Amino acid sequence: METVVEITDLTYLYPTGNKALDNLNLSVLQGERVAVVGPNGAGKSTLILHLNGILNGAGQIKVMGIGMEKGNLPKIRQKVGIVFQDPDHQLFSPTVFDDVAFGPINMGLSEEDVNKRVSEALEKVGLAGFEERLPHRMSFGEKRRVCIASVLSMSPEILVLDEPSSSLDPRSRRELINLLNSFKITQIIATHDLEMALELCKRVVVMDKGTVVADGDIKVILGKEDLMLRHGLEVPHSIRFTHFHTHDHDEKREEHCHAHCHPHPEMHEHKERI
Amino acid sequence: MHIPDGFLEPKVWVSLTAVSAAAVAYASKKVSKDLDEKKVPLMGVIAAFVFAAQMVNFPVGGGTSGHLMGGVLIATIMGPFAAILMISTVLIIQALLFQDGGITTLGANIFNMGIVGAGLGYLTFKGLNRVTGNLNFAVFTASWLSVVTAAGTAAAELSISGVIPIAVSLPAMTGVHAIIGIGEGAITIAALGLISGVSVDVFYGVQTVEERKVQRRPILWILLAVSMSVAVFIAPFASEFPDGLEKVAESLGFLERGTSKVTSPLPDYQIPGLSGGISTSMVGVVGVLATFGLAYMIIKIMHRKVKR
Amino acid sequence: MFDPTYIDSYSNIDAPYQRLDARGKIIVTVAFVVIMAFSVNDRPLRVIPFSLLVIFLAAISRLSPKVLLRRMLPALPFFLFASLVLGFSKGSHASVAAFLKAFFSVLSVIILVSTTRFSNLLKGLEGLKMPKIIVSMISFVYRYLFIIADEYGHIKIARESRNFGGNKLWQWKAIGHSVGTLFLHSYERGDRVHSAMLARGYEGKIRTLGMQEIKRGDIIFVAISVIYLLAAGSVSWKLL
Repeated sequence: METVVEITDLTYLYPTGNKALDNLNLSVLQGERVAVVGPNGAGKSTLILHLNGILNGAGQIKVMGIGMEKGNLPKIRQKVGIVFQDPDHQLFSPTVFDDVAFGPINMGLSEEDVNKRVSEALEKVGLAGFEERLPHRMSFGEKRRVCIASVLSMSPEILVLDEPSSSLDPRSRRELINLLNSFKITQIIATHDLEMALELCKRVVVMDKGTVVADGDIKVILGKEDLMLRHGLEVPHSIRFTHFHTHDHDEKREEHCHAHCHPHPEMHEHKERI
Repeated sequence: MHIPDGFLEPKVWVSLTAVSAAAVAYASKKVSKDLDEKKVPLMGVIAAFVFAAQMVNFPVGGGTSGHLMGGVLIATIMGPFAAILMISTVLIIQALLFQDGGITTLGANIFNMGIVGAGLGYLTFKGLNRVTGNLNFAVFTASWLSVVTAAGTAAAELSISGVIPIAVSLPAMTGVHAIIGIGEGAITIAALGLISGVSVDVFYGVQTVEERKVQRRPILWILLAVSMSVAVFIAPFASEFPDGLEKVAESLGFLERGTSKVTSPLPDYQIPGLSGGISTSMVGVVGVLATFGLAYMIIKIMHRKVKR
Repeated sequence: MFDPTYIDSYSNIDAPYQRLDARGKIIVTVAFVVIMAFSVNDRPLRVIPFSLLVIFLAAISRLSPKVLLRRMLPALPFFLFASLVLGFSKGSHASVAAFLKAFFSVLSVIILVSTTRFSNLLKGLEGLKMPKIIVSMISFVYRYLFIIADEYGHIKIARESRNFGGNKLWQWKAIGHSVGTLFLHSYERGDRVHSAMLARGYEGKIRTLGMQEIKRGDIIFVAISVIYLLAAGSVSWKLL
């Protein structure tokens, strides 16, 4: 499979001199859905802002084989769609149409193409026909979906979401999970919602103090109690109560678990049916 | 446009401090009387918004960018008195904490941006809206005029203090701001459009829909009437610029001879262009009409939606 | 975008100037700027006695010259430009005088705000009879400015992430919409702040705890400084 994001030795200092990213290495394959977890201040959002060149730290970043250089930014920003944490930051237009059309218009598309992309994107997020609504008056869950549509309309290759489930009520959260599950494109999801990460992703990247401290099978890594506690996280209940979790030194059990546990999404669906 | 300490003569800043202090005192009385207790925290947070909005950069062409002033934007929503208070607050903070503007010049800066920028801007908005019934036209023209006149009064203050001859400063300042003002006008229309789309009665002093759509009078004489007042700022730009450059050259020669003059500069510089003949006013009127034509086009284009 | 802590970050140093009452410091700063503005009158040498007071204040507040200059840096290019322009019309002496006036005025303000906790500065302004409504608005601006400016920063980033560009009119429109959105958010924030204040017994008047008592040291400080400034003004007027 093709590597779509490749980050080598990325270091970024805040203007105050504190290290936000410290020699970070990460690569993401096409079609993968990767969860990025870690405590507040671990550098998740800073990492996200590097994926489309808003921030520019030292190190190498390649997106779809294209180097992160000033001249390539328009191309990269079209390929990497970022959904920011607060919808109010992303939506600033009088109507939903204007917000979803913002990216395509910047791409210089014809009026016809813009219209087509807007309706397609809205349909993908389940908001077909919402064009004339005021973003300001929508529910939080709807706003989040408009945000997703506002980047999908640019036909990105990689969808990056910063805390997509934060502040959502359980129903909107469920709708969001189903929505993200239905997308085939590469997704990088930074989140504190470990249960959602378990449902959506096979791979997790744990970040702390600006660097990757663990990377691999999500069920194995999130089950390591010591590792989780060390980095300000905790073993999700769904792992804990099905006795999947292990300790760092307990290699045997970890392998056992790895071989026998069910794929998570199914398990959740089963629970729901009950 | 923030004038720092040290560049205005006492006679200028003392009189403007008096004018602004009186205006701010009157505005605070007015605001505390007409509005409920809610307004203090609300106005405080919105004043913080004004501060942030003044940091907004927008492109004006030639690789340069302008800063938003926001006077008309805030006055059309919150009313002119609240706007003057908010802008004064912002100016005080800018002078104290950000070294933008000075202590002795605070009055002058409040006069330029608060009283002229927001107050006069609001009156222009209200008047134009009443006569033309075209909200966007009124907003655009008022915003444009507020930026240009604020720059004009700042230029005049600097000239009276002898910093720079009026023949140079007025055309230079109003010329640049005539362009920046177009951006200010367009941005203010878009911002108010969005805000009024969400909550209906946003325009201060323009409560009802009927009041917004008063009878349209022939637009032409209104344009001409307004243009007369604006000609004051356009005419010198059009006709006096070469003179201004000559004056700078003269002063340069003066400097090279090594004699520095420490006399009052006022008698040396009259305000040129204002009393000019028919040709000057003609130029002014043409300039004004061109500007309004541009305003009209911009409003048209901005309202043509990219859809369906 | 900003670091809000920088504003009064030197107010906790235990130095003589920091211990003085805010009212006295405000009076002296304003007196300094105003008396200097009246006295210097295009003659650079007259700035000298005034500058001595500012240097003295900087010394008794133990602020390093580096810190002061760093804060002044953003203002300097404009001072240089304006005094250069002034030089063309009024001559080199006036140009240097204007630059020095601007420089030391800003320096005195920087010393004032660096050595006084912002809350004390506000109390001082209130004690000196600045309209209460303005004082409370200043305190709200100070509290929310960074939050709102940051919010605009986020909106801008989200805009840039979708390749914001194109012709000017389109950019103005989008910037206008962003500003309108920011206004709505600020308005709602103002409402929420107000409700939260009502919930804690706010009735329309912002009450503050009583003023600090004026100590003898404060009176002596103000008296000596103002007398010095007046003397500096009149002596330099005669001699320089």
